[in-house]
Amino acid sequence: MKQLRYLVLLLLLPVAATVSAQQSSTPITTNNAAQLTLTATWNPSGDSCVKFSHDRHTMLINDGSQLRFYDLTQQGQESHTLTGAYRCTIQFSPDGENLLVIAWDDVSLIDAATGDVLQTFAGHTDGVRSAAISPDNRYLATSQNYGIRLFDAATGALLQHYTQEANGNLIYGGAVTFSPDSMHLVAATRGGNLCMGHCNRLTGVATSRLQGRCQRHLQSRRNAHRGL
Amino acid sequence: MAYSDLNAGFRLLNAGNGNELQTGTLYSSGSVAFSPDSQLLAVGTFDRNLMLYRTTDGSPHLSLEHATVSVAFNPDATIVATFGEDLYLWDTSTSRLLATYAVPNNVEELAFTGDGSGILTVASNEVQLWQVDPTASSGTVRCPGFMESRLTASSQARVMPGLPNNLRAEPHSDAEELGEIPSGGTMTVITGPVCANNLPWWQVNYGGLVGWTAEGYGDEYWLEPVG
Repeated sequence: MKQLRYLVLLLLLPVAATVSAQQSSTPITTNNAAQLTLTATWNPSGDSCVKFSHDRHTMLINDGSQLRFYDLTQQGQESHTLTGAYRCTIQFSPDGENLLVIAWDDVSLIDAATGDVLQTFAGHTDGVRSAAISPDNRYLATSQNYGIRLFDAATGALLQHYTQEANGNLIYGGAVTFSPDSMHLVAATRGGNLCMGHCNRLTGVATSRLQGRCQRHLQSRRNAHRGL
Repeated sequence: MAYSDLNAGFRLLNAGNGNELQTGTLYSSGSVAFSPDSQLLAVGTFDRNLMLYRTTDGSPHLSLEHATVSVAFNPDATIVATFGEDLYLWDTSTSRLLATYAVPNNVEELAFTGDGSGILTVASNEVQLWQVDPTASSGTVRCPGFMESRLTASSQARVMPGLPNNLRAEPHSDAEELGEIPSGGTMTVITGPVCANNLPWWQVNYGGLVGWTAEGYGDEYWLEPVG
């Protein structure tokens, strides 16, 4: 199954994106105040998407075969390109320096400038459904069937593996995210629960709070967060 | 904390105790966003309204009749951008329409740049970056459901031949009627427009009487600029 997924991806590789800079906008009237400084297009594929750094100073376009980076502080000037068939689960680290890459059960952190792999996060036994880096860049959380994992983002060490909700049911992980102060991890589960746990520190009582804070708020199985 | 779910809508929860502060429908899965300062939650609802809620207690901050597939705040949360037929910029404190831009009609996502000087419109295979200055008085405004406005703040306007214009206490058809401005009557435009009932409302001073009046409806202008 895993091999089949990659095969499909390769067949879908599109041709390179095209980029043009335009001087004129398409205003309603001649004194419209908006000036169009960038138009970037690509051939859409199953894995083409646009991502922004958290400070929205940088944008990347993933066209399925490469990542194109744009400097939004310089009116969208293209800065560099990384070649590779990345999935659309790719995301910027909160500091904008790195990219979190999920390829089925492989999770890694790469340098956004060079593409060099900086850290891998091992141990996943199934497809990773969602992942997030804490705003202070210290933690990485991943979600999959059979649990939520919390890693040390710098060393790749597994800090905690949550496998059960408060009622004893196994966790089928959905979206994960962190609170703005990086102190809490929030996870939606496919059982329809929202779980919240303390990241700091993961011993004794604190570890149980993921289970302890599970709340049955959503009935739909298609839970997705929009952030904290 | 907020969730979105295209089937169930959105829920605004207090992250500390899990209490539900607000809930509602969504126009699309992308039509919900927090302001950068976390004070406001913007929602494009399924029944075609743009709602801003205060996150402290979930109470409505402002409401606009406008269907939007995406919402985005500028960095200091003074402006919220929406996309209907055009790209709209709204003042988050007064709900005034600041600017309208014609952009490709397949926009799925909006984003301000980090410095607030640009807006990105994202479609399925195209991104465009627009440098905007919504504070510029030269910006074009067009309320949803109406033509381009011909009036501007701090200018003179006149009621066109025909029926008189109602002057109301608030920018809404249900608001208290303060008086009428007859055909040919001139007024000073103070600020606007605020879009409600498919009408662009301007706050005006007519002979010392200050209130709100509509510029027109459908394909008809009721007011015209003077000079």
